[in-house]
Amino acid sequence: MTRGVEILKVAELARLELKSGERQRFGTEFERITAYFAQLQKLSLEGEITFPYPCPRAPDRPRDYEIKVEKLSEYLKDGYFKIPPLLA
Amino acid sequence: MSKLPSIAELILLIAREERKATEIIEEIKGNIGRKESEANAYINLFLDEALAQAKQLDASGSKPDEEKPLQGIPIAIKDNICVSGKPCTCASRILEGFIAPYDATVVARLKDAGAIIVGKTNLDEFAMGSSNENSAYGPVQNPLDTERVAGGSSGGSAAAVAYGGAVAALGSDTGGSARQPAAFCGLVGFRPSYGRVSRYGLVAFASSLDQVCPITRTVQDAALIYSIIAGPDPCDSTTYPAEPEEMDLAGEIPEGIKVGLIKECFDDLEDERMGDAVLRSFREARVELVEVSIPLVRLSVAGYQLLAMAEASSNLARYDGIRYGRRIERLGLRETYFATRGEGFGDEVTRRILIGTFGLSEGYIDAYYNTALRYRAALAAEFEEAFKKVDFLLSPTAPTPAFKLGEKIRDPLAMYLSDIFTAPAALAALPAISIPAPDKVDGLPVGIQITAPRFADAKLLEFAHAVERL
Amino acid sequence: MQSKDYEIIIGLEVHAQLATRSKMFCRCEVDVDAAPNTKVCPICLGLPGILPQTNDQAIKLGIRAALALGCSVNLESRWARKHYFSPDLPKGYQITQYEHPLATGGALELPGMDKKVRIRRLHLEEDAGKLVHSSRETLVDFNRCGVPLAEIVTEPDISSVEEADTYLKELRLVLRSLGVSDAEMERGHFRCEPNISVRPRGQEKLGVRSEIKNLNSFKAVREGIERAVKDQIEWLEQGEKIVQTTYLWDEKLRELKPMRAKETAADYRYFPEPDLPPLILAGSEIAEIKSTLPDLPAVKRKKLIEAGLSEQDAAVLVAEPEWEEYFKGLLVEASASIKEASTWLLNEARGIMAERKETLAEFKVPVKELASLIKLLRDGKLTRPAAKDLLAAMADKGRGAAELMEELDLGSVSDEGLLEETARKVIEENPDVVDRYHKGKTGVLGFLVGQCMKKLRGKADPNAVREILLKSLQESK
Repeated sequence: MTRGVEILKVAELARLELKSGERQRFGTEFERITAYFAQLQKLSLEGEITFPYPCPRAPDRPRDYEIKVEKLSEYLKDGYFKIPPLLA
Repeated sequence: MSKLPSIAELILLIAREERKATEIIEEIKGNIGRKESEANAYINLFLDEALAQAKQLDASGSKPDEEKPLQGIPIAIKDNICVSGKPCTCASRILEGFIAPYDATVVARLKDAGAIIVGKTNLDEFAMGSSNENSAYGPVQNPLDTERVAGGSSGGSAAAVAYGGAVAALGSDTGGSARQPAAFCGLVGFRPSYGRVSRYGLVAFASSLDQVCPITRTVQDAALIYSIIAGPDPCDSTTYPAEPEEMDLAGEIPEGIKVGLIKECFDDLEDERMGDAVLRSFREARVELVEVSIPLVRLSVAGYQLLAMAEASSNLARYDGIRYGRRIERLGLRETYFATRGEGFGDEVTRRILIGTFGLSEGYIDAYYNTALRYRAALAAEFEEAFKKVDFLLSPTAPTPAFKLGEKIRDPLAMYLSDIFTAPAALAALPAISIPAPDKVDGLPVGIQITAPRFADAKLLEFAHAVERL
Repeated sequence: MQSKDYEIIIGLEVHAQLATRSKMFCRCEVDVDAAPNTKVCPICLGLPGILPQTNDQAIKLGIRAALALGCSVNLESRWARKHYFSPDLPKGYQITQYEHPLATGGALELPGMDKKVRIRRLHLEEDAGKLVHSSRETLVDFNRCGVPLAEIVTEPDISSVEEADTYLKELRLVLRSLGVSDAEMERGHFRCEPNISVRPRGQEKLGVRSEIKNLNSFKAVREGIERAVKDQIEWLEQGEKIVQTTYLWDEKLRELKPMRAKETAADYRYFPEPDLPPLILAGSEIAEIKSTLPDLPAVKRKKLIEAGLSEQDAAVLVAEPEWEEYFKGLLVEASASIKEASTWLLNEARGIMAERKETLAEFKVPVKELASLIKLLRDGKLTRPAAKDLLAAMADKGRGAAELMEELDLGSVSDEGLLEETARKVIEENPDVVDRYHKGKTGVLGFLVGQCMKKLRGKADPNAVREILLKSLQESK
């Protein structure tokens, strides 16, 4: 796969709109940077980093959290967040 | 530039009634008036509120004490850390209009200790950068040389403390974002062991690497802030469950301390004066110095950036304009996603999300993300070996002093490489501190970076405090 | 070729909502019916800076379900992020478990089918919010967002619609009887996503899979699978190439709609959740949970059948916890036998409820009152037909057995004088029959008892009548 196609595929996955100039520029940098990262592949590395402590578990006690969605977004309707139709 | 006293000095001044809380705020206000328009250290300032709080404290005669050790001390907060009721922009257009509805744990702890929050400081967008030039609110200038960068991503926090716009500040450090700007601005930047300080309320960039860090004038101040913000937090499942150990900042280097110079860091320096500046005081103090090799350090930027970008691509998926922040509305939902994210993120953030998404994607995850995970484990193992021989490790904080604005911004890889000495400790989850070297290079400050074994934060601060006084 | 020439291979993924009070990674109350976006907090809304905190009870319930399904619970499991963009998924990823699930390798026996379905894995994850669609806009409610789910995945062991249906009903029952999930399908507590493939019998290579989403009733699951199987066989017959497709079940049109390729071309980019250390369990905790597991439905059914219940009655009691509880109540309150309790609850009362279109919860006769009806009957204070009438009246009026029996005058005549007098009258009125009796045709006794009962308008214990009649016949000889 050429890097140009790669950039488009990745931008699609990440939901990022790229203008045509950006596609070109990011494509070139992408190639250079991933090539730099690829140096790691030449090392034969082993091991795994894990946490030195386990996952804490919180008691199942509900708590009211007064959060006003009106303060977060102006796109509201009847208490719902309003978005453009899914299947436009 | 009017130099502010350190926190420790201020506490004494207030206690002796030689300084009032309002006077300190007024002084800061004055400095901001003179310096801020150039430095651009703050994104939001709350000076009226700060003054009102200070007035109240003066009226009630309350002073710093054991319960409120920071009573009346003005502190700046990097604008990727939530302060309830205040905007949290992360220097990104995508968070325009967002008001944080809660306090980060570190902010709540500072407020409980009596600190006054004076403002939210500038940063590279979502903390991605090493020069504070990637900000939707414009670059930060280094108050020591306005043609140069203040470092990044906590450039605003460092600049504010450096010019007297705050007594101390909180920054964050993912791969060097607090230590490097501290070094560039002649300050102390302390990155605690991963897990020592709660990340709840710190806007995630790379979760497995992010830590909140004090940026201060002295090691003592860093230790004081650290002692307030550190410790387990039920809101952050990755905090280490034990309370941090007590510190004794006696100021003496204990007998028999052995310090390792990271060979690769010194060997690769282009400017020998950097190494000399770092080492002079140690040599004079006759601390036992040995050379230690950590070969994997040379590829730390590759390992660090790969992991950080991958995690960033995940952490920044939530910015879609649906629940908060800026939305670019189009006819359909899909189009709205692409427009909102395409326009909301700046270049560097976009670049990192693209590469990070690639590194996790089907067919590439093994060659990229998983390889970086193994690199990380191997690097941590090399550090562990090194700490069997020495108590602390030493290197310059950055390969150069503060570089010029615009010098690296067109070359992302060159910019990434300025983290080469700071990324290793972050990857290995180790505590590391940058303190100003007594000598400058080309009139610019140089940072000494000292790294300690994981959770030896107290020992590191004690040692750094002694080194600072050499 | 016919459908019997094809082998159907089905695997099922079930998402069961765990019966916790708060959400999986925050302490918002679980209440999906609350006004939209009122049971939300910075964590489940995915605000900047938030971090997840696991729910201890959800973990315990997950372990409970895993043990009941015979899975081995892993002492170390890990959290992972699964990425996709959807407006009901606030963080852009779902926290789930991927390479290291909570439990692996169990099985569920299908009742009455002599078949076991292997369980591949059970893992914990968080639910998404809800979307409400219209042509002009979509509305989002995050109350459900972050509600804890157990995802239970089978091996592709299921080979018919009936097996799929039985598996789902039995799984639902197991989860309900453990208190792990309310598992109400219509309320979305229990969601099923089948994957289906078909191949000609004897062919080794697996067929191409169809996946179905949005099935929210047992009926929809049956119809959806049937449809997918039929389509696949048809395509195979016509030699068409089958493409792996995900379908949405259209509840209104009752048909499968293929999802657009863009919506299904997923690359979830799983990676370890950096905000949560691995979940480490102690063997002792697992053992303790195991020791508190109640009898599973299969065991309960077996015990009831051994105690004399029909397979069907046993299935009802085990399937419906309220019925089981009522039933047990009768055994205690009336010291009823299994037979008495099943007659009066599962035949009589159930019949009345069916007639009145009531559920057990709506049924106006509490356990205590049905128990006292059974006792009245047993003590001869009621006849069987009268008892049935009384029960109907109780169900209608919602009043006590004794009180209503009195009021409606349904009680048996127990006055010996009256019984003797009735017997005497019947003997007098039927000299021929009495004569035949005395000549040894004792079979006519039933007729005489019947005559007495008629005179008493059915309100006497036929056994008592019989005894008095025998005595009177003896005397009349």
